[in-house]
Amino acid sequence: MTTVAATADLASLDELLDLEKQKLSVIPKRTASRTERWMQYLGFPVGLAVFGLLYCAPTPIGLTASGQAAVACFALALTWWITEPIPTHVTSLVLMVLLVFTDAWSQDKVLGVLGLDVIWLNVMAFILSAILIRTNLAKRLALQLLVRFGGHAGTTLLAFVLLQLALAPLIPATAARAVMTLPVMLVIAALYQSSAAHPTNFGKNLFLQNLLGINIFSSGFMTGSTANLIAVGFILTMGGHRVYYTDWMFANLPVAVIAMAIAWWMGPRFLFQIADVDARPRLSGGMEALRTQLRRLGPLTFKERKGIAIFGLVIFFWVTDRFQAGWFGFSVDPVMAAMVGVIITFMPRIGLLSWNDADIPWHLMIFSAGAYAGGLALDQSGAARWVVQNVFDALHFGRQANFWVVYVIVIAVNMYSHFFFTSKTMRTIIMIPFVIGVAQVLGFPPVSLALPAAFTIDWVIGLPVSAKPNLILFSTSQYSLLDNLKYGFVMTTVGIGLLTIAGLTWFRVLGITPGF
Amino acid sequence: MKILLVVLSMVIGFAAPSIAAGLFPRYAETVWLNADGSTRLDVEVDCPAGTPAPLRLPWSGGALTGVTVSGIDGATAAITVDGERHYMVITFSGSLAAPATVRVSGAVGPSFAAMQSPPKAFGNRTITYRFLNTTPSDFAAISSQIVLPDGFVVTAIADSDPPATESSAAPPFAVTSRDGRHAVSLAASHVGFGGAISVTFRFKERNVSPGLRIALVLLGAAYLAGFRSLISSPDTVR
Repeated sequence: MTTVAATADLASLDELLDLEKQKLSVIPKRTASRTERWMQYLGFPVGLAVFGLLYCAPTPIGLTASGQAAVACFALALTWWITEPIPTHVTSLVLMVLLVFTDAWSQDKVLGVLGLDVIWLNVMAFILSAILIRTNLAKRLALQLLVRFGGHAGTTLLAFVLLQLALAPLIPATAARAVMTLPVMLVIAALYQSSAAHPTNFGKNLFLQNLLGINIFSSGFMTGSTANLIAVGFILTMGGHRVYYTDWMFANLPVAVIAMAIAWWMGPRFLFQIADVDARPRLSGGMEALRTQLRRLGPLTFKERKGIAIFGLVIFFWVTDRFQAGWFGFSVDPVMAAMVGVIITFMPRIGLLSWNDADIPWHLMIFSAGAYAGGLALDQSGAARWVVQNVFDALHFGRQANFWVVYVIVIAVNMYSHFFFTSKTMRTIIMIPFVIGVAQVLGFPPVSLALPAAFTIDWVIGLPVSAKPNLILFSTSQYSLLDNLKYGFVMTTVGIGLLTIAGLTWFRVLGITPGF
Repeated sequence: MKILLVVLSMVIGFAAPSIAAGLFPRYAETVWLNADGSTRLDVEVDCPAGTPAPLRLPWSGGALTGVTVSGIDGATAAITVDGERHYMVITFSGSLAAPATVRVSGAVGPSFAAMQSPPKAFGNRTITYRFLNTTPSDFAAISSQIVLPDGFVVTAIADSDPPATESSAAPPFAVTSRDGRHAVSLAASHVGFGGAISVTFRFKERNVSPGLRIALVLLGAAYLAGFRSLISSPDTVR
């Protein structure tokens, strides 16, 4: 009798762990809630109205006609992405067509977006991710993680915080960290019975918390992203202040760690409340079933070892990027590193996968391409710069403006601006010079505003198109765009609060912000 | 999409020997483009004390009519040709006792060709403005403004020299306005011998078809009518 029950438990566990059923390339069917249906119903005409108002209005002074058209098209797409009257990837196609038809951006540029390195990196990342799934490595890692951390939602989520913190200084590429941890997240979500078709609040917390961790742990290190380095360059050339690696890390790593701790505590309690019944893996055999399953996997198989070798090679390229110029005479770009891994993966006899095994969500690539086209059109038409300039002009900072009022506003504007940009680099190039300009006009040390503003660069968590890893995690369909928006808005607001408190205390100790 | 290229090249000729290698604090010019094809040019130059007559200023070639000169008592302006170079020569007596700003204004020809040809896709026309300093004099600050005909807007900046790069804090050009008309401004500092600034941009007459507004309203209404089931049915699978 006991044997029969145990076999049944394992069978159901096998079913849960069968990631073949959770293909990222297949869009799951979901039942829309009443609120979502009203948003769908009203979103379509609202999007058209927003477009009409912005496009038909007289062209404001300082804005090009292309810029005005780009703003109108992007506003329509943003409305439709949030309310989803039509699928998000179809909205992206609408956006691409509108950009061409309204003369906002040329056709060759719009179509060329699908060849951007970010799209290639995503495609390669999904193939590499399939290695971890196909070889059972993801299952093994997830089971080990669960068995070790007790199988409770709180400790499981905490384990991922620590995992992302450990990976951040080793692997600067955020997409790389996303692709490495995604399969493990998928297995853990499955064990907590959260799937694309039936996402639970545990799944939402798991994926969104990881999205936050992958992004903001990059803000703890000056080399965490190219945009951070560009900001440091502006602070030196325009503000006359050199920021060193340790200056950055001592100042902002504690902020990032505290932010993650708050997210870990707040998410399951207030944002997406995890019911007691969902707080543990729903397995009739409990933790013992997981241990049994882990034992059944046995020692590492040859395929798993091969998978580790291929993945290890790619990670080696990702981790050693700063030394490669000395070794090879050139640096291997993260996209090329991933491509090398994919080539080996598909090699007959040597590799692990055939093309049919690759699970590439092309609908997300289209969604992503449209979003990038919109973002780039805003940038290249000068519309993004015009909007930012008008925001700062509208604030009317007087000569007698209080530093801390200006500080909070600058942090908030920089933080929330990521909702309207699809590139950290573009955002930095446009925002940081404005911040330095504001500081110089008001007589504040440029670094006192520009460096805290630079600390917001990696807080790109509001939308699936805000950063590369966001799209990778969004492909799981474990949360909706609205969930992403809600989580992103709340956590960036928390971030503004934290950076304000840090400005009043810790940054003063470090000499970044002035005393009272 | 380049439709028609009009080059307005303001060439500064070799300066008179007495002001050779001099430093002018500011040179500013405004090109007023009109819908009928006529073009007006305003030039302002800050001259330091001691600037001797005659003063040679840039000229692209072609006629200059209805010239007015102000800022220096008794000054007159005329176009002269020296070999292949054209100059606008400002003549006055002696040299300047104090710093002065000389202002020259007039209608230039030939007529603005871009306005004579039919516009191309999306109603766009293309224009290139270029300033080249062929004098040994330095201009501490150069600014140019190309003002579009009333009712026209800048579609996009296609190119500029110096170029707008990713590392520059701000582009060298700006979309601005003058007397309620849309304009493109270009600025540079310390433009010496051989230094040039230029900008190429597309512009068009701003008009939105009423048909678009009607189409948007009809599309929205059609959706609300056709998708009522979204809010009436209890479960919708998507």
